[in-house]
Amino acid sequence: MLLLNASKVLTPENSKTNVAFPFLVPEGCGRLWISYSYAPKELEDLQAAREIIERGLERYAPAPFRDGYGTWRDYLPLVNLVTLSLDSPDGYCGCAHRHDPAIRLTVDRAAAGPGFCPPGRMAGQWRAVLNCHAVVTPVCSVRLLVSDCEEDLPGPR
Amino acid sequence: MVTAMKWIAAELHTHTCHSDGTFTTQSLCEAAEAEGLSVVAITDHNTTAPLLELPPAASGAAAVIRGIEWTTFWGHLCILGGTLDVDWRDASPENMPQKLKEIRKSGGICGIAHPFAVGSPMCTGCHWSFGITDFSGITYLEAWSEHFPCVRCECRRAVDFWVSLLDQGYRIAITYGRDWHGADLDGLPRACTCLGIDGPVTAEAALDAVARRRTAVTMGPLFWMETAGGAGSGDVIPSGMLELVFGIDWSFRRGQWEHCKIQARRLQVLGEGGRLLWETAAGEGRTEIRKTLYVTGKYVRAQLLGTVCGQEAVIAMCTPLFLRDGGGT
Repeated sequence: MLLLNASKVLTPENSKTNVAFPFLVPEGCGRLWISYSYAPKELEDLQAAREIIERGLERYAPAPFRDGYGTWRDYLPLVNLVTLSLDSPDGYCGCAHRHDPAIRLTVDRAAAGPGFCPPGRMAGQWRAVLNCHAVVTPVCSVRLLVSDCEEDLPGPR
Repeated sequence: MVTAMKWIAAELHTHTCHSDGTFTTQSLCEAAEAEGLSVVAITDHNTTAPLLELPPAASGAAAVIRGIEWTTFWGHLCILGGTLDVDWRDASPENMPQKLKEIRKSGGICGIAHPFAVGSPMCTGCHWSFGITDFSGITYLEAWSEHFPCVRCECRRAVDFWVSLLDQGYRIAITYGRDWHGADLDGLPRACTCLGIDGPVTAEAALDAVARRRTAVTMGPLFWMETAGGAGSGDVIPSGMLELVFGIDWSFRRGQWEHCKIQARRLQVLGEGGRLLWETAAGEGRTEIRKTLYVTGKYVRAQLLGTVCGQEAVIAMCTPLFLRDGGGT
């Protein structure tokens, strides 16, 4: 049974925000299957990327340090980074802080996918939180599914 | 040498496949041991999951400090020790002073990571932008980071920032953070943090050394500073006439840096405000240098200058001896 079926369209205004999706895990659930993906990953508009990077360099590497930080091309590609963190009924479980824009993982009381600690209990109120570190494309579509059975999730298993 | 302390090599900023590294927890510990690092802190981005996989303490590998790197939207903060359970997600410029208090209350030691790296969106949150003005909750500053830190612009800015905090009276240790994500195959020079430890090398002893500011950073040889009375980096002592002892160990992890053709030329003793108190030649033949100086102000510190891969650079720096009468926190 799908416990969470969420979609979200992010824009650059969502950068540096968290977006939380609560979901309830029923009694008897032994394992969660989670699928999470976002697209696009890269900002392919080179001119737009250049403008963003040059604005950033003005801020982070002002004169007289500018030459010590290289050129705008050194910071390509510019990418979206949206990570997923989880809260179990017992609190923070961890985070999938990596650049892969498509992640599948399982969580149960004995083991959890990379970045997550097994929770003390399964049943109860959970939260999946999108940590929107950077959205550089005009829109970025996120898909998040949580189920108590693997068959509910799309894609390769 | 007057020291009773043992100086060991440590790496305080690393990642595994539990965040965006390629190391497993085990392979990281093995890589650390292979590089002559006695201590490694695992500081994955926003997770403590790798700490569930630590090898047994007696396995012969590097001792592991439990840590996390808060990878927030406004800066990266390495936290070593404690319960590591303060939530990073709502950290903001407005509440960061309170967050630092919570971390310290939980037993954690806070260190600002790569403060002058380029930040979002090129490297998300990598630039320290919290805008805090009270640094009393910060134990160490990762003034050197990643490759070739002794010459990179962002690290020179970070060292200047560290010195400015010392001048304001903050007793903050200097560290290097390799920000080690996987095997480095580029052959570029890297540094290490040296920790002054009493007794056996354990994670607890290493954590205590950081907490006491008993640190130094080096591109090559071990370099440390103490008084003839046995006080060392991080200690708080009275100002006045001091017999200072400087040690240089050229055999320290030599296999890791020999290819960088590191040469020392001068040793400098510096006081508050960048004041040069004394300077002397310091080539490879010198292993112990003594000098009696009258020191006042907030601190006295030392650095070794020379060349790395033919480039002029500061090759090692010690956290200061802090002077009680000069004030400070």
